[in-house]
Amino acid sequence: MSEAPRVDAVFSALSDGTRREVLRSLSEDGPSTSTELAARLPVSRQAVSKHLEQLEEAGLVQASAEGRARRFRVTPGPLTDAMGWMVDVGAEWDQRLESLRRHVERRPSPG
Amino acid sequence: MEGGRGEPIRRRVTLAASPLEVWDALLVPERLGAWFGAEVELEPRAGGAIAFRMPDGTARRGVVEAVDPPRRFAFRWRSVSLGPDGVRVGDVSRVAFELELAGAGRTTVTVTESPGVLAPDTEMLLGSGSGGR
Repeated sequence: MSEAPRVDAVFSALSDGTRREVLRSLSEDGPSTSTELAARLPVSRQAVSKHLEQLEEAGLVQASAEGRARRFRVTPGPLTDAMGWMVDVGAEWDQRLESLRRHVERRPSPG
Repeated sequence: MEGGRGEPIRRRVTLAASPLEVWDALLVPERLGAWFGAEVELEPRAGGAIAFRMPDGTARRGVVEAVDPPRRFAFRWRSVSLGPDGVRVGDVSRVAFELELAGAGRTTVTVTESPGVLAPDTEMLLGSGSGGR
C-alpha cells in the first residue's frame, strides 16, 4: 500500500467541477480509459488525462495497464479513511465540548 | 497504521467559567468522567496512565504527556475493545486541551486531536492501567 495521501490533496482534487464529473463517471459507469471518459464528458482527452493524473495523485483513482492505454477506477479508501476520521472525531468533540460547557457553566464557581 | 488518517481536528469554545474551574473539570477524574460520559482513571502527571471506559464496553487507554496547570493538558490515546477475535486496538492519536483566559470568569478552550502519533510503549497503553502506586 502506498503512503497515505494528505487530505489537502483530496480536497484539492475534488475542488474542480470537471474532476468531480470524472470521478462520478468512473463510479457510475465503471472502470474507463481517458478516451472513453472524453467520449462521455464535454472535455478533451488531454484534459481528462490531466484530471486523472491529479485524481491519481490524491489516491482517489488507480489505473491498470490495458495495452497502450490505462484503465482507471475509483479507490474509495483515502477519501473514506481521511474524511471519515475527521468527520467522526470532529463530531465527537463537538458533543463532548457541549457537555463540558453544561458541566462547568451549571456548576457555581467556588468562592 | 497506514491509510489516510486525516489532518488534526481543532475545536474552540469559550466557556463562562474561570480557567481554574475548567482545569478542575479536566483533571479531576470524576469530573472528567461526568462530562465525557465515561468512567475515567487518570494519573495527572506526564507519563501517567489515562483510561476512559465507555458505557458501550469499549475503552480508550493512553499516556499523559503534559500537565501544565491551568493552561495545557495533553495525552495520547487509542481505542481498545474486545471483539469476537480478541482485543482490537485502534490507531494512536494525540489530544491536547489549551486554556486561555477570555475576560473575567471566561475561558477559551481549544481541543486538538492529531492522528497518527506512534507510541513506542504499546504495552503501557494496553496494560491494566493505573491502579496503585
